[in-house]
Amino acid sequence: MKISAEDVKNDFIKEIEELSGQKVLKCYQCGKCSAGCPMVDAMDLLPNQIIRLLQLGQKDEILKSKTIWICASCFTCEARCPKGIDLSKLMEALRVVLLRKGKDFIEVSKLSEEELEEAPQQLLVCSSRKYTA
Amino acid sequence: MRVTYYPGCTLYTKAKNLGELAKASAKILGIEMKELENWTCCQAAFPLVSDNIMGLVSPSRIIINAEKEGDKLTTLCSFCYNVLKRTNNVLKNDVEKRTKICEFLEEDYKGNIEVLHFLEIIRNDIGFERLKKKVKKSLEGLNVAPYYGCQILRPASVLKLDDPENPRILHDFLASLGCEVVDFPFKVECCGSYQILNEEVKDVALGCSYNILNSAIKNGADAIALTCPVCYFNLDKKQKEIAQKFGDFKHIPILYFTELLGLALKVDKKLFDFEKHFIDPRPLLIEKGLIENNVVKRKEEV
Repeated sequence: MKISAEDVKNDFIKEIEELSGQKVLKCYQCGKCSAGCPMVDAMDLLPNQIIRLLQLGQKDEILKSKTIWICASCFTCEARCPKGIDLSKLMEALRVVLLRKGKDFIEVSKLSEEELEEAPQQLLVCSSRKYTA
Repeated sequence: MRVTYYPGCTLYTKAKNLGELAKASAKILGIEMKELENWTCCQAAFPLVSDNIMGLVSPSRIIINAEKEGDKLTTLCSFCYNVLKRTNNVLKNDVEKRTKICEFLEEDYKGNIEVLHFLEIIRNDIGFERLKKKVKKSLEGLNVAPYYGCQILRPASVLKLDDPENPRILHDFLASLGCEVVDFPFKVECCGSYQILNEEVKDVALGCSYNILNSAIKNGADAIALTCPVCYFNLDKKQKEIAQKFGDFKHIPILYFTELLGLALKVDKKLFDFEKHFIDPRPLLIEKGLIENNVVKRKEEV
């Protein structure tokens, strides 16, 4: 990976900080977020790696990662971060950057009948909120 | 005392046992739960980006309408609780957003309302000691693991319900009903939440639920008590898939905390709908002498 001064100073960091209300440079990479994350097994980048890449302005690396779509917004990392960063807000800001381009990440029509029959309504509403533009 | 009650989308349908038994139990405890009129969806997920003010409109409308009825708004579903309490916090502390939302809704918000979980009302206004005295049928001998999940506890700085890592409220509640409380390390872990509908990561989400269920069983639980319809779906309804995926898995009944409250306060039997459970809790409840053998037909063993 090649990192230049322009990368580190780019507007993407500012955009994400504004959307999330979190300061990415506060993170000192202790890794507690990744250690406690219940969904980490499915992630291609660890939660702390997302922040590190964000600190280094690696927009493309982050936005193509599956991790931001795997976060379940359970706020475990928020409860454990020694620097008080709410990583769930950073994850949502990163998703929003892509969602606001008008692309959906789930298709409700693809859910099985059994799931639609049994799943509580808020599960469907919540996943539509998180995954559709 | 009277509180305004916001049911939310599932409480009259899939989570009927959560809602109906809470209302009936509240009556016995001297709490009148007056349902908010013309309520709408709370929209299930609190918007986590700062410029999504539109996402705060529907929960704000609920809170502002509830404020006209009284100073306490109570909910039972963890998702509604999370969204409404966090939105109330925004309305109270963020002048810019409050002004925008109130102008949009053409309403006033005075800031005289608290959003409280039903458990919070029991703890703060009834007290667990008094609850203990109201118990008509002690749940003695029933080993229950209290499971909290995410939405009811975090972010703790806003919700202020309990410690986000080592909560006690559900433990104390169950102990007041006479249950043997089984503490277990996965009590605050995520059940996989809405990721269960995401085909790509469904296996990991099922794994989350498996870990929770297995840990409760290993620690000696006969059943798990919880507050959230989403956790209920993942931990009860998904046990079929969990059993297919993990060979060593043993089933365990999942109960809403209000079902146990209803049993202990002896609310009308007709209000219990045990058919709604995937893992039928009746054999366990009959074995422990908490319900009669003849009242209900047992579902086929799974």
